[in-house]
Amino acid sequence: MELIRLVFALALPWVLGAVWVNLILERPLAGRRAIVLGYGFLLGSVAFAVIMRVIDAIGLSLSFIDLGLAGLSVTALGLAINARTGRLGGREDWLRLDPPALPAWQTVLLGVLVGLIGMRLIGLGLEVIWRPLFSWDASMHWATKAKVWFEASKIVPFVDYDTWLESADPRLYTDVHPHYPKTIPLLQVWINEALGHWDDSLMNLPWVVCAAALGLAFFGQARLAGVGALPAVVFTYFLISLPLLDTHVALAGYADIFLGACYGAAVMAFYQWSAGRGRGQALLALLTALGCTMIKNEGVFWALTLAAGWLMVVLPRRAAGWLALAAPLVGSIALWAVPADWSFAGHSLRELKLQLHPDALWPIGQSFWVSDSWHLLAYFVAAVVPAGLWLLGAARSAYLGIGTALATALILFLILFTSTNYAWGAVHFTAVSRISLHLIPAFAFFLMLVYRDLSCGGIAVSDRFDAHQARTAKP
Amino acid sequence: MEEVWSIRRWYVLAAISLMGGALLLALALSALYLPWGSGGDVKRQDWRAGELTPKRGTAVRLGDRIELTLDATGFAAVTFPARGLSASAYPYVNIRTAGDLKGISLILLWRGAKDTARGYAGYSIPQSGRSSLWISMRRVSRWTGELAGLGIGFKGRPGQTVLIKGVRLAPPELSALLQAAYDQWTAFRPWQQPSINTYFGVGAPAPLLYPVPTFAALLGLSLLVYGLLWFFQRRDLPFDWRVPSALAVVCWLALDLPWQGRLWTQVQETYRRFAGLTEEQKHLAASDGALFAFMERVKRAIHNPDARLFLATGGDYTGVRGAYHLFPRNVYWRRGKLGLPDPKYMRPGDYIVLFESKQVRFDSGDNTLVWPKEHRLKVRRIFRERQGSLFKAL
Repeated sequence: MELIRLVFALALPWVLGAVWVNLILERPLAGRRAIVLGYGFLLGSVAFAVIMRVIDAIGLSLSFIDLGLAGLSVTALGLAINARTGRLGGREDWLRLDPPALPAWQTVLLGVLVGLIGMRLIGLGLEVIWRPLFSWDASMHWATKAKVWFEASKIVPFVDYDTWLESADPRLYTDVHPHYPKTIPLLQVWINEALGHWDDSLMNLPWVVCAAALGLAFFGQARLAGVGALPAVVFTYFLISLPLLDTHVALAGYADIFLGACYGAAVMAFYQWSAGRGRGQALLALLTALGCTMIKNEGVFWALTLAAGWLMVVLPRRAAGWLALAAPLVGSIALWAVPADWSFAGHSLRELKLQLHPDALWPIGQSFWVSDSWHLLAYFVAAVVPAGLWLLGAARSAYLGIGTALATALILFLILFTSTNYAWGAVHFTAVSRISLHLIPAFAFFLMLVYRDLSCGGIAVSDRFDAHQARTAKP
Repeated sequence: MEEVWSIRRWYVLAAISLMGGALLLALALSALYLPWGSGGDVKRQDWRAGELTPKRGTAVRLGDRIELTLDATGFAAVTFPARGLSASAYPYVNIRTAGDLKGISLILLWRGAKDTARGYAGYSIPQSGRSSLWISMRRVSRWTGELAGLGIGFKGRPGQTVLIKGVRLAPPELSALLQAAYDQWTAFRPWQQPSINTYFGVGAPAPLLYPVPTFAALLGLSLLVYGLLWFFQRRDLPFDWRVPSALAVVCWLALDLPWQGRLWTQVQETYRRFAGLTEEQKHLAASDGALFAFMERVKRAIHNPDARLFLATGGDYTGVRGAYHLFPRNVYWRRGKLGLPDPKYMRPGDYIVLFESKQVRFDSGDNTLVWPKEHRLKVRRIFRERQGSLFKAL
């Protein structure tokens, strides 16, 4: 029974999200099923946390029955609209297998890589199932809230230390970061509600599904972007095999992988929209960007990088150029004009203590070029992206939006770790790689796009293989 | 057959490029790590099992091996005749064993000729699971000067056995360097708290080489070889993206397979430790099991679910985990401040939990808790244990 409830708890946000993403997304599209499933889990998880907040706000308890019924109702509504608009599709649409016609060696390699991805996720899943909550921040400010809210079956407020000390209200709680977004602990509450008891191993299974969903979203968007089946699987394998990403699943409890997946999903959908692949992608980008803001405070800044990319896409080239030139000046004036105590997305200038920390540059470099957190990804990005921007000529204009968003994110990242007190987190390797995880899936996607264009001029490797065979075939 | 191995075939080109890259990398490593000139005169020192002298535990000779049984304290040691050798001339040590070393930790023990007053130095050997284990002593501080004694210690359960085949000391050599680097990369370290922050790809301290720059160099040099091949044959040989792509995938896999292996080893460890246990049993079996057990006793001793708890610990880690174990009780624990807040914030009926706290002490004479800045609070002690105590504010 417990297993059934656990599977139901994992599946409900996923199905809920997939049903609504299916409604949003145009059809038919390459990679559509993977996109629906991948984005379905990411958006479904955030949406389910919103549903939990609504349930709590109207005075109902966060019980399994109340939450289950609410989730099922929203899912049923989505299904009804899908059916009414003819978007549901038949069994054939969802279950058909249409493997690409690949040479035997590519099929074998593809199978091996899919097997490696599957094996990785199974191993990580077993680690999560057996290991009790282990890691630092998970114990310090994420699961603390989950434990209290699960016990109370409602969202009781967490306040800062001083407010807690001054207050006589026993319903107020405190921890190190009382104002962090509620989504992650609410997901843990939901799993525990389904189990009927507190279990700080099983409550982290959504982390495994998050990695799988990220892989699916990545693969689907790769196929939609015209990447061949084999390179799409290769890059998905690259992404899922990243050691720090895997570690964040194995030692689940941090929000970083959810934010990385959500920001990556937002950037991928934003690119597809900017490449003219439908309004559904624009809506996906918007929703996943919104999701970023509900997972971690840093998500607000990453979401804003998409706004920068959007401006570059929609503005006339000349205006966009002026804006890009003026941005550093505007940013500097904003920093000068903003009151030091003014808090934005959980951070104030006073708390950030703006000051240059050149000593952080070397550790930042080490975190990308020496550590194995990202295998060879940083080397690939550093070699392929500039080469692509240089060699691709006019074709590189397709990267204006995604390139601006990621360049802005990179600049913000560098400012954070070289000019604020977060430099400590770089010098001691406590935060720099974790925050990089927010951006890594998006950079991996960008890398794949440039590789696609460099290697095949937009044609998949399999197509190129066929073309090469045709060229070299003897008459 | 000619067609299959034609240099025009992309996979043949990729293989040639990879081999060329590996050769260039070997040359580069030799130039960087091996001595120039007369340093190559030093010969390996090789001791077979029959030449080793058991010092602790009991030893039985089995043909070309020694079976060493750990004594009642779970320790055994062997020494070998290394007296008079210069430690710095032999930066690599190779230990050859047979059978399973699970649950046994190895320590290299040595004493310098001038170290008579300091006794034996020890170096815990990171284990990769290979039966022929290479250890780099290049960056081990006391591995210098003339050796007066050298041995290996084995720590494990009393009665456990180890099969030793032999030991050798190696001068700077490329094969020793590469094998020691490989053993450092594949040495298993279970999850630590910093694991969530970054992963350097090595399980040993002070690594000889980091895997990522090494494989990046291999990839770069292989691409260089391919670039040169293409440049000099460009009339007959169109640039083929499959070659650099294949090289990139091969280098990625070479990095990823040890990581995958490490994850599987970890899963087995986790299974051994936690599988089949209840939620409570898992926490008791965890590394902070004693802390969990203490906090459970605290929770059981406090009957008012709305009571406020103030936690003071001896360190941040016990604070983070202690507070976590106390939730969903209403806990106050402030990171970075290991003591308690001003007593003006505390009310009768509040509870104070001390765990290994050095800042807060109990004056049993007048039932008062005392902490820096002359803070004092009248309390009643609920219980006391070796590591911590629970008090109720009066």
